[in-house]
Amino acid sequence: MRAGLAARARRRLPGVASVALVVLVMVVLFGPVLMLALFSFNDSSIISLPWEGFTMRWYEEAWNAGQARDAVLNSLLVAAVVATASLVLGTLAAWGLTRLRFAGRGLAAGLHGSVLVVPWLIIGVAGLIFFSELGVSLSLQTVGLMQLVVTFPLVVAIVSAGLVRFSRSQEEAAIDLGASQAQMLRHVVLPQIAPSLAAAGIFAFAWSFNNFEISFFTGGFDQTFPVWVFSILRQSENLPVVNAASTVIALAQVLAVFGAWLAIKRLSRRGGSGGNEAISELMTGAVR
Amino acid sequence: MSEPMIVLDRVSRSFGELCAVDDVSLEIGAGEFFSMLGPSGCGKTTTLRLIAGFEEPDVGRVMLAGEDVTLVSPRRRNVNMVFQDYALFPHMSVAENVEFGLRLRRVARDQARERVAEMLTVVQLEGLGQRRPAELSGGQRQRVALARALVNKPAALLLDEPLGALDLKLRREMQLELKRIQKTTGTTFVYVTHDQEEALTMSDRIAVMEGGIVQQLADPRTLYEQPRTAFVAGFIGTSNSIRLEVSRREGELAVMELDQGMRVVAPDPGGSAPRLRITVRPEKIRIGGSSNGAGSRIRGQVVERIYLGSLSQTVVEIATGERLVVHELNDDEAAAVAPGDQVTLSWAERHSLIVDSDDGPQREERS
Repeated sequence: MRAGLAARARRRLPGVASVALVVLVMVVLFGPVLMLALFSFNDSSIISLPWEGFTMRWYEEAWNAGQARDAVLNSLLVAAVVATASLVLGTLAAWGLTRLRFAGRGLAAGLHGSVLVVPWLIIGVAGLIFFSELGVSLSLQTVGLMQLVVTFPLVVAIVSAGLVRFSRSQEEAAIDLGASQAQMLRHVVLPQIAPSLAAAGIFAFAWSFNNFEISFFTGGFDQTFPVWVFSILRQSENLPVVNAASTVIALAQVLAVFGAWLAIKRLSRRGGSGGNEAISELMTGAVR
Repeated sequence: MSEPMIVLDRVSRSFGELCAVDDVSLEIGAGEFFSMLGPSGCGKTTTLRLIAGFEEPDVGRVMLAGEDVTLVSPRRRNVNMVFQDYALFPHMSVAENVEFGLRLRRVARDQARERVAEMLTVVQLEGLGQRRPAELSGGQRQRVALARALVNKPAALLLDEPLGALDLKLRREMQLELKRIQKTTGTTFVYVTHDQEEALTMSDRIAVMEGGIVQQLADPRTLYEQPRTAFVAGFIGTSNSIRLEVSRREGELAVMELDQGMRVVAPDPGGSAPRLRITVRPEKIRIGGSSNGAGSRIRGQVVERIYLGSLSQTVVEIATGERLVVHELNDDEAAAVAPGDQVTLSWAERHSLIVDSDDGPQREERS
């Protein structure tokens, strides 16, 4: 009997160990964020124990801080424009890279990929130098333009992956059955790469919204949300307000991405493939 | 042949250095089941794509139902293609897939529905219209691809190795099925395959291609019984190739004398070629046999004997060093031989097929 128990324990060990590992990773990844969220309800301007009691006051202050609201609105505006622009341009580029044959195609694809590994700090500084050399005054436009530099290759990467999986003969079949190029794209290609487009759009938006380095160096008087957070963090009494605002923003993003994941899964099923691709697509965007 | 449906007039197509299709001329009749057969890279698929319009010829003309369509885009050509991987649209139901071409041509909804239902009946997929392609078996997907193309009533249906992805049993079923559908609809079928059995089973005529040229164009029986080149003889069925040094010519026959009264006899192609290359089909050769007549008689040693169910296959090495494959029916008369045995092989002179000669007209020189 004892031997049997030992054998059973041995058999279960990998399962138990993997659960433990997942818990550990979750704690390391999300522990600090959860701590901040917790302290945003603490009735004290110092972020540390002891617990001084539950309050919603920091949320009220954040809500009433005009600067915070402006910053969030700025970020939303920039992110919406950047996501749309990079989605359109990136999809066109991905189409060209995967469907057309031209000299230097490999080089072009490599260049797109390489931008993804350049630190955002360097891109931000480069943008600052670029705009000041040209004598362009810094504004939300310059922020958006420089963010486009990193979100565009992201879209190219995600949409290319979708297009590569897509079988070319379907395009020929559509043409063969009488479709024009536009009809082929609309009825055959777009419905099937919709999950990739959705994932690309969401992450272009999130990258733009969350970006600090580029926004900081190429921004003017109007601040984006991360830049605003940085600017008021210098006074410690503002900490809980930042905490509260960040918690709301983080929660909103988590919900948005979760909702998008569900939507992409549905799109993928409609497209005839399983939901696994949706996950891989989300991971591509989440690497940063 | 009545008015040809498809005409290729001295068509060539190169990709860089490679000449995929080299000065090919073909006429395909209306309602014909026409196959292009050859190994991969022989130019058969490129030829099909030239007809479909996915490739443009460098030179030459493509005619469809009497009209020059060389420069017409594939969407405006009245031919439809069945792709090797079927290329079904996975995000559409079976019915939506089949209806796709009709929708683009703005056929009225009711009429389109009717034609889709009719076509699904022809391919025996009634009641599966609402399924997704992912929910179908390989054979069923194949039928959807056929229906999607045929519903447009094309002047010709182009099929690019459509059975390649199916297992052997299903492939045999689908061969008969394709032939049935072709007869039912009366559509011209142009069929590309590398499988000789498939081509022989279904086709009215077959173009055997190799190196971008048509080696021989004939009906299946002629290809098998009278191959014009060594390549055709080797590609269609098993071929036993023998180099024949002509010792003397006897009237209509070329004779190679060997020791002990043994000899190989073939119909003389004319001319004075000192050497001929002949082939003999395995089932035409008899083991033992007492052909004292005008036929070939040759001794050899059994190298291998394999039981194949209805047939026995015997490999015999003959005096010239060449090996011949012999097929015998496993009936009561089958010879009982074993490896190592000395046997005499015989066959009638008309079964020596000349596929090449040193100065013969059959030789296809290419620069």
